[in-house]
Amino acid sequence: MDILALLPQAGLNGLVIGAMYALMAIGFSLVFGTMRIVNFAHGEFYMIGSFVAFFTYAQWEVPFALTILIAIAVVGVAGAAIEWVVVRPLRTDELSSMIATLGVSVVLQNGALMFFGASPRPMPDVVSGLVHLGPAIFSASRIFVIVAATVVIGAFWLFMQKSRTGRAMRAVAQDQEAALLQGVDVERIFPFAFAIGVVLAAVAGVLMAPVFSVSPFVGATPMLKAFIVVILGGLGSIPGAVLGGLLIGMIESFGATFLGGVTADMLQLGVVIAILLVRPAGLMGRKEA
Amino acid sequence: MIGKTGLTVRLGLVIAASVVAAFVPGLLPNLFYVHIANLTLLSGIFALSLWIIYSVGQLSFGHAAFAGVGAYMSALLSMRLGVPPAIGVIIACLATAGMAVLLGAVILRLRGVYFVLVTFLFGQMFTLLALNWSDLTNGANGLISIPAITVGGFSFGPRPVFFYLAFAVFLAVLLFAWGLKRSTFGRAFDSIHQNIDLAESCGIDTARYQVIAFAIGSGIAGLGGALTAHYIRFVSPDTFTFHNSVAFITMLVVGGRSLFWGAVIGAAVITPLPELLRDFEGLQHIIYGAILILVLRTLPGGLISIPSVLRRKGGGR
Amino acid sequence: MTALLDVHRISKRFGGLMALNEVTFKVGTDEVIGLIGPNGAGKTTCFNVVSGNTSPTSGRISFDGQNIVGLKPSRIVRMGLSRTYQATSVFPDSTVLENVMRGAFTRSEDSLFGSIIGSPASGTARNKERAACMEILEQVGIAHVHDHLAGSLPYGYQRRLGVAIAFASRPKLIMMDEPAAGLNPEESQAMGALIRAMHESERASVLIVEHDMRLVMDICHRIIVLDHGELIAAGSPDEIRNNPKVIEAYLGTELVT
Repeated sequence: MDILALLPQAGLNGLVIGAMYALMAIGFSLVFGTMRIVNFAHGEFYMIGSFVAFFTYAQWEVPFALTILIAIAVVGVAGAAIEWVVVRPLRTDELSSMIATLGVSVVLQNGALMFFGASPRPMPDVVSGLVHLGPAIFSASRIFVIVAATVVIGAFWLFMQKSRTGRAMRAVAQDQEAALLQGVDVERIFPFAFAIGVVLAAVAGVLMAPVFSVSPFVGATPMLKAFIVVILGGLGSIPGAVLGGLLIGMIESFGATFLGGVTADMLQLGVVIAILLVRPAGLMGRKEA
Repeated sequence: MIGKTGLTVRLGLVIAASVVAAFVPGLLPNLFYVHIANLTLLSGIFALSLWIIYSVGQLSFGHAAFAGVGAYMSALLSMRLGVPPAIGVIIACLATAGMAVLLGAVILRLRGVYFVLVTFLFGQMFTLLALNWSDLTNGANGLISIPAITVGGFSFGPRPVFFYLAFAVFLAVLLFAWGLKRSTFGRAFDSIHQNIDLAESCGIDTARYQVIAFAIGSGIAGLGGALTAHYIRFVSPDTFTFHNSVAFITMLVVGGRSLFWGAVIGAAVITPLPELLRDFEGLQHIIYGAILILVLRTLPGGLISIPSVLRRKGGGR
Repeated sequence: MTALLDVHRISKRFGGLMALNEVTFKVGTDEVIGLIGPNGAGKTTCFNVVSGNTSPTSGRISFDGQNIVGLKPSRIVRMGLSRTYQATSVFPDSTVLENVMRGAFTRSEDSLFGSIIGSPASGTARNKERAACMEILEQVGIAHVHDHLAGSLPYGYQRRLGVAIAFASRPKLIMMDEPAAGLNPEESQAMGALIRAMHESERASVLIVEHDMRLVMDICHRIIVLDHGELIAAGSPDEIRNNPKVIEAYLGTELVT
């Protein structure tokens, strides 16, 4: 194929993975922003989302919209429970809470390995066919992922802007003490924030399940990318997570197309470390003390 | 307290420990147990070196990567350039420390979470490089038949013999950590850990000491990695991964973070654990994770805090 | 006057806010100076700029004849300018004596190598340090709790320990950020007496930010007043008490007694 044909494909692929990274990074950033917790188990919720999609959609042939709702419910409850049991008692200690989420990650990943085995399971596309846009031809399933991710991010944004809980979360993220003084029940906000954060990861897992396959280890790469994205966009910054996600998605897609996958990966890490040097708080982050 | 454990006390302990250690390989029922003992000593070196970094209040999530750098470096020096492994491990140690100085100088402005994330990314970068820089690392297949450490024709290759080498290095690292703890550096390190702003106001150059601690800890990890490579005679991108970094952190947490003894106890408890849990394949890692969470929840000071916890409970009655 | 600390037209801008605007003042040797002003006047910013915790947007600061802008805080401390913090600032998990020894870190004669192996010379150096630090604890009146953990001390003692840590480096100038904050009137008065006594025995100049006006008026030779980041008055306690600009700045916030 010539370069002109590759460009739109690379761009579309960049949007697809960029949308996934954005979803992952928003959730990760939300948890960090409100609770000051680095969630090393974030990728496992992506993995759980993928498995929910596999069993409900591919095995039991539940409608896809319902699949998403089931994933949200399952992971939401699990997330709130983990916040309650594991994270809450350790919240005052940044390092301990971080290590505890490592423990959660190990348990979840190996639990999945024990129950479902290591072999990757393929999953059918949700929509099929091709879409012609001018001279370029795109697969409809990819476009579906982009549209669905945009809808979810939009819904999340509306939730954060309009709902009481969402506004309370933003207040807590901005200044916990001030939020307390304004009567925000911080203790009740935390499990919500944690649950919503990991639900976003799970939604990413559901949407991407047909693109990649489903296995206990699928969460590792998206989590690594989420880390890179939030460092790039600034820890705790939601717009930074969206922008960073798209940027990393594009770098990855174009890099992989024109330079090869490994070079693209190294390039990303290099770019992130360079950005940290110049702007330690990330592209859109607030300065940390 | 500083000063109470003077030179003589420490010498006595060294002699006592050495005498006990002299009989260990002979007393263990078979070579498999000797192997476990060797791995435990190596873990002890890794955990102690991670503790040194932690003692300035930083936690490296890429500690295994430094061990891996040391392992590859020493292995390649001996295989490609014919450098004697005994010298190679020392070069690996110093080079790894030097690398940590460079990385540390770059990230010294980053505190807490950012430091963790960058060390994590560094670990990922190492794995990527080890996998893909095939000319040097032989990719996923790794380097095989790495020569054993020999000194004057005497080989430390066999398991029971390597035990003595590992024990000697472990003991040296332990004494170094102990000395460091009570030294002027140790005072500066702990000041930074407890209250970094006040430490700076005491005239302690906090950034400099943080880099020093990072370099010492990473350098010792490089040494441990090099020893491991010449012991198992094989190194691949899977030898030192993020999971190993997590294991080292687990040792620190389970043993107790406040004192270097905690790292030693953590290594001694955690390293043989997978072997004991062999019958529960699959469950093994879950138990690992569960122990981590359980200790954090119920015994945040780790195993070394048990005596003081019991005392407090006893006194409370 | 030979100035120990010479602050010349320093400004500090945070975004659009001028926290300090062309502030100029000097501190001489053997002086106790009060730095006062209503909340948000820029006192703590001024401290942070002088101690090197943040850099000024513009202006010059010299200490003992040398420029200190751009130096690390620890370097400035080693030149003889030490500071205390507003909140209780101690090493909570160390003993009281160990806390003071950390304050004396830069003066330690202990060597790195000697201290690692635990040589006799290192032991001697430590004993000497320990004795010197005990003396400082005697002076601030908390020698009897030298083996307690600093974090377990009552609040008033922790504040005194903070003073001891700062004096342990034998500074030529010590900057104290609200040393009496959170203390009751008697404790506050005792703190004032302590600062005066330390100033006299250690021959160190003192620059003090404090809200307790009685304390400031009692112990300071001169007072400088900041308001909205600008220096609005400087003079003896009596002059400041009767300065209409100062009274206006404080009107409705606090009373100058």
